[in-house]
Amino acid sequence: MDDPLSHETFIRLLLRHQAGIRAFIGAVVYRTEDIDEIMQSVSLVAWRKFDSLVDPEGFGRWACVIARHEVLKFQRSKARDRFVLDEGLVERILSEGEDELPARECRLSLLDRCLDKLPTSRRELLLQVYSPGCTARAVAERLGKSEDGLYQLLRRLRLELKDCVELGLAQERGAS
Amino acid sequence: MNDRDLEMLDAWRHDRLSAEEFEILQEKLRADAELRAALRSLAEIDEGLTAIAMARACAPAASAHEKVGRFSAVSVWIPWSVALTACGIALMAWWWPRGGPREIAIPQKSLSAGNEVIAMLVDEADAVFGSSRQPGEVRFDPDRYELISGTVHLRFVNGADLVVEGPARFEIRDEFRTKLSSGRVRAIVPPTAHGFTVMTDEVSYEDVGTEFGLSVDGATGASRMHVFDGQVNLRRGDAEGSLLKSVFVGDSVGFHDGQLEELSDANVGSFPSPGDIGHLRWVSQRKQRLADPGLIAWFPFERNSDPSLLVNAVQGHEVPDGRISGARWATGRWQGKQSLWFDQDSDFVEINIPGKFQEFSVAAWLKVERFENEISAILNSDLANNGGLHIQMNRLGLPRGGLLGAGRPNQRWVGNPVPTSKWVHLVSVLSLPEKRHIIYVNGTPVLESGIEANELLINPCTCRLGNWLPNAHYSNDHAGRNRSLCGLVDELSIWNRALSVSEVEALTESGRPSLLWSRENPPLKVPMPRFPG
Repeated sequence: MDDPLSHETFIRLLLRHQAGIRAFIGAVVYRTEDIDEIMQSVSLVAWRKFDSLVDPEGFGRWACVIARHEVLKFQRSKARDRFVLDEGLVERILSEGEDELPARECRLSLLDRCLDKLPTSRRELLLQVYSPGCTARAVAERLGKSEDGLYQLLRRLRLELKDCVELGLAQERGAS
Repeated sequence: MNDRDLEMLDAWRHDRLSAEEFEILQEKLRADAELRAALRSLAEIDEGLTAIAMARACAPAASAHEKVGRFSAVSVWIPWSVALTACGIALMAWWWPRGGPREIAIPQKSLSAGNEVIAMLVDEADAVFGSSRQPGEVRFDPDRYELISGTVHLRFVNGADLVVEGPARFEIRDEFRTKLSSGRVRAIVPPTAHGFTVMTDEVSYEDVGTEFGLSVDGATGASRMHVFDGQVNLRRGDAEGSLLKSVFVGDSVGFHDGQLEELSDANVGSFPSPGDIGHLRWVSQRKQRLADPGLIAWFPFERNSDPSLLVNAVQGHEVPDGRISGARWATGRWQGKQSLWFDQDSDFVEINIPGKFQEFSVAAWLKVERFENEISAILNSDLANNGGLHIQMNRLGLPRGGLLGAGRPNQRWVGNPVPTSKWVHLVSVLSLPEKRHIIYVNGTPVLESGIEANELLINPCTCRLGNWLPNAHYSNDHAGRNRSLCGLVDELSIWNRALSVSEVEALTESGRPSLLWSRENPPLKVPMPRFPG
């Protein structure tokens, strides 16, 4: 590499913002493998255009603009799938989400605290299901629960976390 | 938004929704901004949990509480943990495209200073800027710009698109404010960029969504504006910016010397659009295209004074102009560009291609409306003589055909079919010396075949575009006989040589209908068929 510093900076910025960018993509594409594929394209395009970015603080928002374009490209290739949102709706959800990166990163950091508030067994269960290579079905089998029963529980926990994060964000805004 | 809506969102995100419920959910999402925000929040929860679980899986042993407490979803990059940094690098390696960064030049620009990106160049045609701007730059900072000629498409970070046609002088002040001193622009403004304003010396045109065109006369400062969609507020250019008028979809106004005028005609067609750029680029490549070695015919599909002629633009050619029979002129890939519409069983263009060839390539842009017949012809030699050419598609949209009279060993489909209602670029490359035939769709091979033809030469002779003249063998076989194409064709090129893969890709790229056009086509919903044997 001619300039390892730039390479390092790029990786640092991408790692810094990847959860926020993935969440941005994940609003309209929910399968992990699809998000991975889009994230690959985003990282490549961002790398190619990296020399046009001067201020690292703008990286997240800049990458979201790239991500929006890549998601639309991806969605078009999947347009025939049954559960793919229509293009107009995808554009709307993403354009509304482009300005939310700072709040998104704030909410993601609040998620830690909200997780902490869950009973240990519930917290461990959630993290187990979201672990790499793990599936809800495998966890359900291991716990001797029905898959449907486990899904209901996970859904309740996710919605609790969402409420907790939004409450935390409102409190932080009120305090600032 | 109620609890049931949230449950549906979560169910969709975890593959537990029926098709009927999915349609209901889409309707609700279209109507409810709060529900869309909730969808984004749930995506954050899923991604955050994934990141935390991933970080924990990568971490050295620690207590359960420490694991959860220390690995924030957004702070996994912080180098307090060597193990975590190593894990991050492993993650990068996991999703980094093969060979990606190693093949790309490292950017030399320092990242330590500078302001935010305001706008980026997303497309251009023949753009020449004044001396202050270097060719190839894609970033637009707050500054003054002079576009001497050509057209550019800028996208602002708030999502607003601004298409500027040269000659034009403009100044980007920030992501919401651009001043136009002279020239013509079109602004396309999504909800995130409401308030996007283009100013002149006298007034400000503030977009409240979604699209308007504006021209400014550099000599007089007079401006003319037309609202293509939504609403534009016309405000005084002074510090107060008081509202002069709200202008709504379909209306035009002019402003000069403090006088507001309602216009019945703002020359709406003169405002540039993103699609124009593709057309302009295509037009600008005409000379280069005609200099292409081996090009024996190029039908650009530009309507002639004799509408029954399809003109071959290659000068001194042996391939005469085509004769249009039935097919009608229609709009092509861009506004202002023509195509031919093949709709009836009897529609075709007759093209005579004299000569015998060792290699032969054919490229066409087409948009199929429906696959009505068992086989749809793109370019077929008349009858079924040895050496004749058949380039066609089956009912699934898979290309088929090749050289008549030649064996086709190892013939197989290797890519996605031609979809309906989308412009596609189809290229057939035949090479007898290399004994291969490939049909590409949007630059990707879809049909591959060997060729067994020892004494045979390619002899297209008289052909039909969009149809086939069958021989007696097919006289009673209606299914095989009727191969009329249903759809549009825009541009047909023929070479007496075999195009390389990179040439095929470059042709696809140079003729792409728009920036947002995707080369990817959907895969078959059924298992890929195989050729007999």
